[in-house]
Order: sequence, then C-alpha cells, then structure tokens
Amino acid sequence: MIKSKAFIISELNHLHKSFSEITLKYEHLVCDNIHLISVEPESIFKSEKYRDLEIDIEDRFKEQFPNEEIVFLSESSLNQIKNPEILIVPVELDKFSFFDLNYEIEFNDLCSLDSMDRKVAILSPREIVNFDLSGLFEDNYSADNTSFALAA
Amino acid sequence: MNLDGAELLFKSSLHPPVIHCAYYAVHQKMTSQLLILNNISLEQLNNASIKSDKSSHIYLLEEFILSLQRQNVERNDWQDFQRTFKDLKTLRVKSDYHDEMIDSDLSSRAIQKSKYLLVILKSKR
Repeated sequence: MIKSKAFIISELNHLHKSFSEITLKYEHLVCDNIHLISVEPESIFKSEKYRDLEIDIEDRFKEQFPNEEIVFLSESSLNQIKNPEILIVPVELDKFSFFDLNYEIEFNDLCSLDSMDRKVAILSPREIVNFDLSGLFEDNYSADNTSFALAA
Repeated sequence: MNLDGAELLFKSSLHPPVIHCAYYAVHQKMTSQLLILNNISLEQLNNASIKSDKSSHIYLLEEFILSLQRQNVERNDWQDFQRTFKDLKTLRVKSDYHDEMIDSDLSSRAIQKSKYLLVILKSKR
C-alpha cells in the first residue's frame, strides 16, 4: 500500500472516532494522484469541529505528500463516490446484525465499537485489509473482530 | 469568456465540455487576480510554480488561499472556496480524461459553482 493511502486510512479512522454519526467513503484516482473522501451527513461537513479536523488533515497531507491531492466531498458536491474503496458507516448495535451484511464475495468486513459503544462496520476491499491495519484500528480491533470478519 | 462558452455549450446540450469551460473560467480569473494581489508577472508565477514541484493548478490554489488568509478572510469562507474549487477541478479531470457521464444537471451545477467562485475572485482586489 502506498504511504499516502495508509495515511488517509488512519485519518478516516480518527474521524470516525470523533463523529459517531459520520459516514466516510474513500476513492483513489490513481492516474491523477487524487484522493477523494466523501463525508456525510452535510451537518458534520459544515460543523466547526469537523472543519478544524479537515484543515489539519489537509495541512499534514500536503506536507507529507506534496505531489498528491486530497479532496473532501459532501452530499452536495459535484463529484460523488459511487464505488468506494473504503466505506465506513455507523451502525446501531441493537438495530443491525453484522451478519446481515452481504459483502462476503467482494469485501472483508471488520467491525469496531465507536465512542458510544455502537457497532460500526468498516468495509474495505481485500487488498487493503490485507495490509497491516492492526495498528490503525488500535484497541477497537481485536481477535474477536477478526474471527467475526472471517465468519462473514 | 470561458463562462460564456460554458453557458453556450449548456444551451446546445454539449454537457461534457461545459465542465472544462466552467473550470477554466475560474482558473484564468484566479491567475489574473493572483498576479494583481501579489504584484508579480505571469513569468514569475510560472517559475515559482515550477520550483514548488506541485501541480500548477494546486500551486495556484494554495497561493490564492494564502492571499485570502493574509486579507483575514474568515476561515469558513476560504475553506468553502477551496472545497468548491477542488470539487470543480476534480470533475474537470474526470470529464476531460475519464469516461465520466456528464448530464445537464451536473453541467448546470458546475456552472453555478463556477459563478460562485468567480464572484469571490472578482471581489478580491
């Protein structure tokens, strides 16, 4: 995995921890060196707290990867991510069964608990999951999650 | 002139090149405004851009955002400008170089975003 993508996955995880209701999508336009990140809902995208974090991520990304570009999108943007490489969605534990997800053919599934102890599905294509993500997901990523993912 | 071109293309239902013109209307205005704001020549701007080792479009944006910050423009205002510019720029790349479907709704919205950016650009002297 390229370093810029690892950087972004780590930042997506931090965003997800900061906003329990956030949905994040990621797509890399490889030929153009553009990394697209979609943030939903719009209320988070416009919030002061999120704006601060976005500027911080952008500044550090520019510093580390001056030849690449990061673009943050919302529901009202011209560009929409239809086939995300990474999708992070909030899921309420009492309303959603992880096994209801039907991604077993194309995706490895990871799950973690957000700051309010709700289950959150983190869905990634196999080649990204195969990268060592254990450090990125920190304490929320456990052996139990792994076997859960494999069962799915 | 590029924005006029975008609107003519829109009226003719030629939607993919609308995006190109809508974007370059902003790019050209931003270039001319930056020359005025920083009191530099186009040659000086181009040389600085080459030295930066960044995409010339991104260098231009970053320099313009810096000029907004120097003018004490509110954080949310310059951030919204930056977000909108990058959104339009990305769609221009997809439209020009990829097999992106551009319909009338998308090209219409691109023109609106271009107009929003141009209003801000023209207000900075």
